[in-house]
Amino acid sequence: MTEPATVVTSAPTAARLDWKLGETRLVDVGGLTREVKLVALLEPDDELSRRALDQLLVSDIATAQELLGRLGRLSRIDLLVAEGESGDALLERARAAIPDSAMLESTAARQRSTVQMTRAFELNLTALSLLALVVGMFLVYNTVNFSVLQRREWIGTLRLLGVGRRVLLRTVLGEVLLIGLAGTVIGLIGGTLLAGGLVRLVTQTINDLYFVLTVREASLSPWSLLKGLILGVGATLLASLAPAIEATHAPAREAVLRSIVESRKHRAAPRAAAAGAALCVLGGLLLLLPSQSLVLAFVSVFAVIIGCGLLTPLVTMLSMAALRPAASASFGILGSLAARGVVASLSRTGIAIAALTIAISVTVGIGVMVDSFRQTVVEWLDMTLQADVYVSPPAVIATRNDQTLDPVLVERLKDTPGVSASATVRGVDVVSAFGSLRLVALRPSGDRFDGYEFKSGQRERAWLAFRNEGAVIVSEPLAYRLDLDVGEALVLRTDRGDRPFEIAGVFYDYVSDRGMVMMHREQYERFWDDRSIHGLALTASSGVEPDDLVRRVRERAAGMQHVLVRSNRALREASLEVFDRTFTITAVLRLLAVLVAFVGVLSALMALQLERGRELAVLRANGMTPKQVWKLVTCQTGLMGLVAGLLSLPVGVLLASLMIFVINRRSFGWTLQMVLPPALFGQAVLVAVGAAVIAGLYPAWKMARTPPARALRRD
Amino acid sequence: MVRLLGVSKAFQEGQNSRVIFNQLDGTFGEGEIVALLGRSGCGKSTLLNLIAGLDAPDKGKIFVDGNEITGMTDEQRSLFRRHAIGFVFQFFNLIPTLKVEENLLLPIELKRRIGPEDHRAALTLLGEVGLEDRAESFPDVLSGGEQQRVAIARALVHDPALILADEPTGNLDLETGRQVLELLFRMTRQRRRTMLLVTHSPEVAAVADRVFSLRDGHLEPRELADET
Repeated sequence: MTEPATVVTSAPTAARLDWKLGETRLVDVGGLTREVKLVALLEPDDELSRRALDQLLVSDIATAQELLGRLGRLSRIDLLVAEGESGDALLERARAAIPDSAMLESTAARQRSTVQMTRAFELNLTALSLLALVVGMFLVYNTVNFSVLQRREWIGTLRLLGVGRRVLLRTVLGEVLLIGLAGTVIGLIGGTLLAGGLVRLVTQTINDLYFVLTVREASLSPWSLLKGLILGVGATLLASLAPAIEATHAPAREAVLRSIVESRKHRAAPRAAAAGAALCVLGGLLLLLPSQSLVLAFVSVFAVIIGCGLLTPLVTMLSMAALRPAASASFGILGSLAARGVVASLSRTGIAIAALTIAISVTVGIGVMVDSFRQTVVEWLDMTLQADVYVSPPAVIATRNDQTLDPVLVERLKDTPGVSASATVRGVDVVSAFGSLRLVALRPSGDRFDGYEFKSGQRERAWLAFRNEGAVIVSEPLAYRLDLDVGEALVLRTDRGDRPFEIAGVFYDYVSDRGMVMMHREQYERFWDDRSIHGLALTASSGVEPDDLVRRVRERAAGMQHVLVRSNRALREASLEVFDRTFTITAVLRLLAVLVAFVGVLSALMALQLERGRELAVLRANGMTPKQVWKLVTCQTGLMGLVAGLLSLPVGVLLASLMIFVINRRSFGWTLQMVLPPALFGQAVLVAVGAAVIAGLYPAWKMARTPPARALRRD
Repeated sequence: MVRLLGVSKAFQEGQNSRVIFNQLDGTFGEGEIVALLGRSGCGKSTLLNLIAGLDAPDKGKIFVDGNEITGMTDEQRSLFRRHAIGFVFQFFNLIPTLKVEENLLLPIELKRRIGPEDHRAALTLLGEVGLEDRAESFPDVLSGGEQQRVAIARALVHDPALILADEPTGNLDLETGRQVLELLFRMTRQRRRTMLLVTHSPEVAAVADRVFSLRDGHLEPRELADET
C-alpha cells in the first residue's frame, strides 16, 4: 500500500467485482478516471466486518488524497483514548492542536448525529407500519368477536351449567393467545421475506437523501423479532379483550341470543360515535400544545384515526338508511335486503367497514400529501431552476454533491459560445454550535435573488445584505429545526475561527430536510481556503436552444472530466425521479394497509355467510336463485365498500392535513401547499368498492353453493 | 299433483350412513290436504325439502305438478319453487330485516318488480290473516302467532300450486296453534290448493283429507277417525 495508486478491498467485494489480486482497474472519482491496483485482500473475521468492508476500497492516505483530489487534507482522524486523567489530558492537547475548521467529537456524538439525520424518516416508516397494525387490530377484534359469537350457545350453556366467568375468559383469551402467537410467527416470517424487498427501497431513499449506505440484505436482530412478537401478541390480546369480556360476562341467557348482541351494538353505536368524536377533538387539542414533538403529532394522528373508526358504525347506519331507497330502486328487494343486512349485522359489518375506511383514508391521506408535496416541488423547481444548462460531477448522493469540478473545465465551460451568464455553487459541511451544517457558497448569475421565494425577510433587503454585507440566508427546514429567524446571527466555524453571520432571509427549499445555509461566494472565499466548485449553471444567450448548448458543453468537456451536463428539463425530471423514488416505500406500505383491510372484509363476509345461512335458506325456499344470492352478496359488499370509500374521503383529507401541516412540518420543516386531486378521490372510492366486492366473491360462491336444506335442517 | 317414484335418501353421519327413505313411493292429488305423521327424525321435513327441490334424493324421481324436479338444475328448481311452492316453517322464518309487508311480497319481488296492485293484494291478504295494521312492523315486534300468520300469507301470496307446511304449530301454544291451523286450512281450501302438512300431532293431522305415517322409510296410510 506504500506504492502509489494501490488499494485493498475485502475478498467478497473483490469476488463480486471479479477483481484479481495484482490486477489494475479504472475507477471513476467525481468524473475523473483513475487507475488503481489491487494489492491485497481483507478476509473479514465475522459478519459485522464483512458488512462494514462491503463496497469499500482502502488505501494509504497519500493515495486517497491523490485519488480524491484533496492533497494535504484529512477528513477525519480517529483517536483511541484511554479512560481517566491521561485520556482527558490527551483530549485537551488534541483540542488545542487541531485547526479552527476542525472539531473534536466523541464517536457516540457522531453516531447520534447520523441517527438524528434519518430519525424523522425512520419515525415516519414506523408510523406507517403501526397503521397497518391498527387496521389489523380492528380485524382481530372482529375475528374474536365472531369467534365468541359463533360459540355463544356453548358459552351460554356452560354458564347455565355453572362455569365461572373467569374460567371462560381465561379459556377464550388462552385460545386468542395461541392464535395470536401463530399469526405473529407467520407475520414474522412474512415480514422477514418482505424486508428483503423493502431494504433496497429504503437504502435507495437514504442514499438519495442522506448518506451512502450499502445494504444488500435485511439483517434481523433478535430484538426486532422480539419486538414484533410482543407487538403481534400484545395487539391481538388487546383487541380481543373487549369482545371476550363482553361475551363471557353477559348474563347466561343473553349469551345465547344473537339478536341481543346485535341490538346492543345498535344501541352502542351513538355512544361509540360520541367517544370517536371526543377522541378526534382530543387529537386536535394535542396539536395545539406548543411543541415540535413528532411523537405527539403521531399520537394525535392515531387518535383521529381510531376516533374516525369509532364513528363508522353510526355513519354506516345512517348511510344505509339514506342509500336503501336508491338500492331498492336499482336492485329491488335484493337492494333493500342488502342495505338492511349491513345494518342488521352491524357487529360484523361495522368493524369491516371501519377497517376498510381506515385503510382507504390512509391511502387518500398519503396520496393527497404526496400529490401536494409533488406539486409544491414542481412549482418550486419551476421557480428555482432559472438557468438552461447545469453541469456537475457524478454524485453518489442525489441531493448532496461533494465532488468538485476541475477549475480549468469551469472556466472553459463558462466561455462556451452561446452562454450569456453563469452561476456557481459549492456545498460543504461546516461546524456550528448546532453541529454540522450544510453551507452552500453561491455566485449568482444576476444581481438579485432570482429563483428564491422568501418565507421570512424582504427579498431586496436580503439581497443587499447577502451581496454586500456578508449576511447569509437559510433554508426553511434549517430555520425550523434550529428555530432561527431573520436578524439573528449564526456562528459558523470558518478556517479563520468561529464567525457570526447575520441571517438576512429564510427561503423555501426542498433539496434536503437537513436544510442549508447559503452564503455569497466572495464571503465564503474570505473565510474558507477552499476554491472548489461542484456545480455550474449556464444561461443560454437569446436564440440559443438549451439542447444545443448541452451538446456544445458536452463537446467542450470531452476528454477533461466526466461530468453530468443536463438541461433545465432533464434536471427537473431527474429531481422528480428522486422524489418519486423516495415515496415508493410509502406506496408499498399503503398497499399493505389496503390488503389487511381486504382480508378484514373477506373475514367479515365469511362470518356473515355462516351466520345468515338460515336466512338465505329461507330466501332460497321462497325462490331465490343462486344468481340472486350472488347479486345480494355483491350488492351488500358494494354498499359496504361504497360507505367505506365515501367516508374515507373526509377522513383522508383530515389525515392529509395533519400529515402536511403537522407531521411533515415537524419531521422536515417544509411548508407545503395542499392540493386536492379529484382523480385520487374517485380512485379511492373505486378501490374501496372493488376491494369489498372482490372480498365478497368467495363468500358469495360459498353461499350460492350451500344446499338450503342443510341450513334449514339446523332448526 | 305430487308423485314420488322409488325415492331413496341417506345421510352420512360420521362413518355410518343413516337411511331415511328406501324406494319410497307415493302420490298426492290436486286440491288435497295431506298430513304426514311420524316420530322426530323419521324424515318428514326431509321429504318436504325433497319435494320442494331444496335437497336432492340419492335415487328416484319426484314429480310436482307434472314437472320432474329431480331432473332440474339448482337454478331451475329455484325458479320452479318461486312459481309453484309456498313454504310455512315451524320457526316462522320471516326475514328479520324486512317489514311485514316486505316479507309478504318477497316471493313476488324475487320474481319481478312489484307494482301498486301487488301492494293492494298484500294488504288484502294481511287483512285476511287479521294483520292489516301491522304492514309496516318488523317481525321481531310480532307475537309468535302473528309471525306465523304472516308466514302463511307469504306462502300464499304468489298463488302457488303446492303449500308445504313443516310443523306450523310446533312453536305455538295450543290455542294460538289451533287458530293458525284453522286459518291455514281455510285459506288453502278457499284457494283449492294442495297442501302437505308435516306434524307429529294426530289432532292436527285429523283435519287433513288424508293422513300418512312415515315409518321405516315408507309411507303408510292411516285412518285417524278410527283411532280417535
